[in-house]
Amino acid sequence: MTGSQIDSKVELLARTLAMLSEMVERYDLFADQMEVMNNPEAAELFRWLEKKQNSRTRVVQELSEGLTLPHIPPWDYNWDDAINTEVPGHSSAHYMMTPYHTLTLAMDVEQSAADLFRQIEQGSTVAEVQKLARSFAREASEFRDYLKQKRAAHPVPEAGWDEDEDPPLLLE
Amino acid sequence: MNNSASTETAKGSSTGAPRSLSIAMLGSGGSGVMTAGQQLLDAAGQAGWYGMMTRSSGPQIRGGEAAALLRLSPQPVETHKGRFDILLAIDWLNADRFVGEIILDSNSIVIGDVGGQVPDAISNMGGRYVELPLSELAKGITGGRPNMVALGALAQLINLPVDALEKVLTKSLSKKGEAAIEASMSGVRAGIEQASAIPDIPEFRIEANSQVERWSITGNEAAGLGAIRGGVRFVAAYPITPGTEILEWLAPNLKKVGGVLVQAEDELASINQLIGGSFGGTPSLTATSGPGLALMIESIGLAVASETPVVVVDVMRGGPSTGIPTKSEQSDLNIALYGLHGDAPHIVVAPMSIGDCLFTTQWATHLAETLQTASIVLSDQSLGQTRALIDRPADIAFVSGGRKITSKAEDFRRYVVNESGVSPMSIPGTPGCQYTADGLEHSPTGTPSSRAEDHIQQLNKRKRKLDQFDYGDHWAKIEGKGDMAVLTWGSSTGPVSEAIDMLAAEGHKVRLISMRLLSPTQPERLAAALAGVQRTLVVEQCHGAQFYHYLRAHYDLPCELRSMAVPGPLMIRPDDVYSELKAWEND
Amino acid sequence: METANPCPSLKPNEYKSGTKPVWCPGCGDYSVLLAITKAMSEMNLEPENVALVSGIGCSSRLPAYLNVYGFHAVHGRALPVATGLKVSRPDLTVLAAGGDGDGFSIGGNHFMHACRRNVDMTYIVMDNQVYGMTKGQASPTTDPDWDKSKLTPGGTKINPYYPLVIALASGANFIARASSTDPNGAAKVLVDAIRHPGFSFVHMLSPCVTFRPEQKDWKKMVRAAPVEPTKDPAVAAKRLMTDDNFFLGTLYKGDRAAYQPELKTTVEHLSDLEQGFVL
Repeated sequence: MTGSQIDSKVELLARTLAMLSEMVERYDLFADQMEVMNNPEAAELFRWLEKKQNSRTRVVQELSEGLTLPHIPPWDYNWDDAINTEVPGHSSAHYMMTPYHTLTLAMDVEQSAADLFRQIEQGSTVAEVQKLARSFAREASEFRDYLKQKRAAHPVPEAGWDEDEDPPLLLE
Repeated sequence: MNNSASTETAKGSSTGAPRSLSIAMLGSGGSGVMTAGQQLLDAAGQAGWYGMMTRSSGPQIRGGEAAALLRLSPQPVETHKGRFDILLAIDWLNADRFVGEIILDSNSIVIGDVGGQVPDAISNMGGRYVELPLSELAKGITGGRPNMVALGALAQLINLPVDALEKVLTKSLSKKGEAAIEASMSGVRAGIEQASAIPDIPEFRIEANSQVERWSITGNEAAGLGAIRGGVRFVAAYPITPGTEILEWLAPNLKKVGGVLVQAEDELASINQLIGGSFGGTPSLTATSGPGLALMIESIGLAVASETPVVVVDVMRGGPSTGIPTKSEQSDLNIALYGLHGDAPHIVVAPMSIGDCLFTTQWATHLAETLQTASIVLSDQSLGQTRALIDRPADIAFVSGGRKITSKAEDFRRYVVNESGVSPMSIPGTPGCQYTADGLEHSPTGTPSSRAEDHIQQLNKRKRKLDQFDYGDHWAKIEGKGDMAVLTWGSSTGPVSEAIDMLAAEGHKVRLISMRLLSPTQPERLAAALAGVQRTLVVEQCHGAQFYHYLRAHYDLPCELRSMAVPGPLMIRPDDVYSELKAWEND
Repeated sequence: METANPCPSLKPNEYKSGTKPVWCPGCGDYSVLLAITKAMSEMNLEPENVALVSGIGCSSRLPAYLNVYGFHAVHGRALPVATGLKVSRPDLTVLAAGGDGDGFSIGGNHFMHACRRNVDMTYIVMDNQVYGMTKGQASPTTDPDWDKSKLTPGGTKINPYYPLVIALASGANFIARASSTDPNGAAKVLVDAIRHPGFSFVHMLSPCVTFRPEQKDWKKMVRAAPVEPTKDPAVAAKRLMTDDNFFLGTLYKGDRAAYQPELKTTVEHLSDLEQGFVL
């Protein structure tokens, strides 16, 4: 989305919704992965994150009620490398990840989202869009801070946290 | 579904072997003996006779020595006799290679071109030698050829009406034009005139039968027609001798019925293309021979595990490895029955005559479709490449199990475990019934599973559906009474059947049991068929006695057993089986 | 060229089956799954009219995770299964998918001939330059010096295979590269590939986090190819021969007609076929 200017409320809402619902799906997937890998702690946190994002999605859906949002094909989002952690990449999960890692991942996501909405705010010429983007950025920042607090309850993993003494399995 | 009678020999049980004439035509490549042989056969069919013709040749693609071996009779014939009544050679180059196949005696007539040198190996067998000026007469005719002169001579010798020959030549040469037909007919007439010089031999004269519709067909063509009658509309092909003609017949004919044949890059591709075609809802078949079957085996297992119907016709040839590609052998029984890794129940069937290639292939398709499994049809080179004159096989309509779901079904589970073992199969395009077919063991929904419970349930399901199905009388051909029996299968049925007729003519009753269904096994049916039998001879064309060992492994056989297991390339002859039975009877 | 769909009737998520993948967390194949669902949603494909065929390997587990018709075949044979299906059922949208070992090693001959035959289907090869299901052996696309496999101590010392070059030389009608690190970009390439008639080959970079953790860096190495698709094979050949394996996008779009025999009945009765046998 960098470089592209957003000058209509419906477009901002459409993009925000696409981003949020993809986040929900991704946290759901990560929770599934952690369940399959027998990592219940991380799974539980991902489920919690999924729920949180889901309620944010619902707020944005309410804001969109009565409006016709444009459909934007995925490749027009132009999520580039700098900000594509706004939705965590599939490669950011690890089967032995700790709650500390899980929350760090989510914090990075919120930081990216906050940065993105701030860029949108600055780039737009429409007051309504600026205002909405500002509120989304603030929300993301606040959630990031909350996650940071939550993370403090978990120890920083020691070096070698991802060492697995057993080799991978032969499947087929 | 009364069909077997039409596909099998309608012989009297006590008349002995059918009265028939065996004729061999020899010549080097280019001499046209194969063409002349085929024309002689077709003309005999025009005159209302039955008959068969096999081709034998050297290893050369062009040129080299070749033989057309014919047997003509007023009754259906399914096998060659040992001896030949007439041997006609356009030339004698390398002719001694056929000595094992063409047996002559003092009653045989040997016809050669003037000045020809009959090899010792042939003249030593006996027979009256007659010289005809074949090439000289051909030279005197514009466009004349010695093979047509020979054809005329043979026709005269056996009392074949000239108008039957004229019909056949007109049809087969229609593309070459009027002049070619005239040249050939002139040759034929010259031959007829010359043959008058040969003393008349009354037993060579076959009286023309009533004019009924007669088909000229090879087992390979019959298998192709059986496939289409069975509903096959997709064929993936990779050429291999002696199975290729099935594919070549199907290519243009499938097109006419809205089907398609794709030439694949190898047999690994052809079998997998079938699986794809069948998954899409189109009954699918391929034809191959031993080496190709070996390559396909892994994916036949996939068809079994994923319950995707496919039909593979294996036209067997001498093995192992490249073996003897142009000669017959029944030595792929083991790989067809046991070649698949894992416990993979599937159908193995075998046609027992040329005409039966049609019925058995159609039946195999029906079984594959109904039971959602792989069917292997074990034909062989002798059935596949021999051309026979037969009565038109009856139309048979099988009622299919209606396995394929084309409208939305509630609670669709592709591999649901049920009583019949046959679960609903949806066709892509059907909404709400999407599933993934899988070669991995799976749960009833098709999800991959390594759980013991899923494995045993699916293993049982795949076995149960084959075991519980009622195969009816098609499983075997059973003829005759008596406390002696011959158990056989496939192309060995012809010579066995004729040997039994020879014994019957002498007043000895022998029971014939030829098994069309080889897998799944039918122990109760065989036990009933063998009731009262004291001694059973097991006849097969195979060095390793694979059929004998298969019977020993899967069936209770309370009688005394003997194995007659003879490898190719020479066909088992009625005389061989007769002698074996006779010797045992006198033991 | 792909056009925006004004209103997809199904969301990408609705193309998933609900079965949880066995892939390692962090595996690139999750993104490929997402990209495929996004492409199908954008194209408004009905799940029941799509079939995805795969072979054996990590990426070949894909069909079970989608709500379309699927076939998980044996190792290396996805393309023949897909060929048989499409030729006999041209109404379906047929995709084939698998990994580099499945497609280029055991299935290498089928790859060449599928390109040559040009049946209208899309083949997605998720390339991670390693056999994952058998614990990390070198594949045809592995660097000669990669020495982490017990099977090839010191590396294979064999030059890797260049799938895009082979595809072009064998006659594929559409050649593109996409990356799991950019599922949205991959979705665009897939839409383009599925719409293009004939055999479309999509080389999909998809890192293996377990056996090739260094492939996480691919994310920084991939970039859009600075060229438009060409239909000139000579131009494409030069492009692909000098390619560093990290250019993304559609690189070649040929104009060869797809192979599809017409399925049309021309006889009234089956018995018409028998006339050739009647004497």
